[in-house]
Amino acid sequence: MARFGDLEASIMDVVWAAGAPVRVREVSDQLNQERPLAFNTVQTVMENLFHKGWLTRHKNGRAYWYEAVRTRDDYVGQLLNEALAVAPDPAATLVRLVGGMEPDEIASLRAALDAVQGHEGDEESAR
Amino acid sequence: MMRAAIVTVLLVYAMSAALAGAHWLPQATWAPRAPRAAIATWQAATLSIVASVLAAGVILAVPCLPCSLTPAAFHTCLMAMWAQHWMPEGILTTGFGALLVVTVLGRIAWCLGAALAGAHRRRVRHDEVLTVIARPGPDGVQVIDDDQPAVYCLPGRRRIVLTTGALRCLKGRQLEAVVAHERAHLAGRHHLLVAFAGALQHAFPVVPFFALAATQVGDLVEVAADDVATRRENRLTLAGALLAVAAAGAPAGALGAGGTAAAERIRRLIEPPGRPSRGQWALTSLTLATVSMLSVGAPAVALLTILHCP
Repeated sequence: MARFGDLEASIMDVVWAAGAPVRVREVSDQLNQERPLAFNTVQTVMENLFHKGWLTRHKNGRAYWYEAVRTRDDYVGQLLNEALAVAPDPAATLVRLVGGMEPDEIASLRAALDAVQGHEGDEESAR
Repeated sequence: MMRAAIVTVLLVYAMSAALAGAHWLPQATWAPRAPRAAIATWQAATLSIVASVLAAGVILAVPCLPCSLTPAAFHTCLMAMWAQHWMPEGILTTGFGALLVVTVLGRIAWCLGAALAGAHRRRVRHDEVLTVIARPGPDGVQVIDDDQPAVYCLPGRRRIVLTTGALRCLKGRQLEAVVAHERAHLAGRHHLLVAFAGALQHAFPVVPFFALAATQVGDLVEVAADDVATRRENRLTLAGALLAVAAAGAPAGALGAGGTAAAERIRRLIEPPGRPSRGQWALTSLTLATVSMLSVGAPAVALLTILHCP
């Protein structure tokens, strides 16, 4: 049995790939091509995702049709904004690896690095 | 009056320490060679300033502390406090001292608490989103799909995250070097050092020293993490990795904030400053020792001289 988070991720992948409202049955069929999963398990996790705000749903006939609230890119953008925000609140994540360097600064450092690497022999630069 | 003199000395000391620290500490050339000692110095100086102001407040608020626990001494002490309270200016003094202590402690506790709680909340949420959208990558990292190169860690959740853009521009052992840097942040609990300095900056925005301390500690933890990473990985590899990510990610017209510090950091990897000379070690130790001694000593001596029972 996969971890719960993995299953959430797999389900969201299917929903995003579908690009249109899907029923639990379709998601579960799709996932079953890779690993055996009970319909009820998929249903429970999709309800959780609905309550957590990842999915919306509406009833049409007897089944719920599920849809992603936001695109995957929206979430990626949100994470990166949080991670790269330098001010005013850097505490949540650490390292903005090297923020806001000027292109000429980068070029001069690159030249310095190449020069030193030439000095210290190819074995180091080749690593 | 003895008390007034000591309170004045403490407050003047706190102000001069803040001014001198803001002037001299950023110029310390030994700081990039001994980043951890430099961080400790900033923290000791910060504590010293705060402790002196608190000590001044306590001296104003309390005429004496019961140094001996014998009932007679305690009684004398209570009588002294009672006597002070009965004089109008005594009430003012006590009130001002208490207000000073409560304000300073309260501000720090409030800002630190809010920062830590907020950061924790955001990290939990960040981690939830990561669980759904990230893929396991090489070397135990999480990979999210984006062209913008970014590498960061999520303290408290012990996650290291790379974008596909970052993975693409890192070659050979560069990935290991960058991951070692992030692991050093996590292992050193650098987020707490940064959070503490940031909370003081937030608590007392009028004191330039705390703003400087926050910036410098933020830069110094990067240098410290580089040091740990280069114990296992080649320093030129790490420099190459940082440059590759910076070159791929430099957005046009970006604010230069922190750019110089980042450039200095990379230059330090390319041209290492070398082992500190004996003189520099002496200077480093002397600074650290002086600041630590003052940080505990100044307020403690002041409290001990004044707060004995008559």
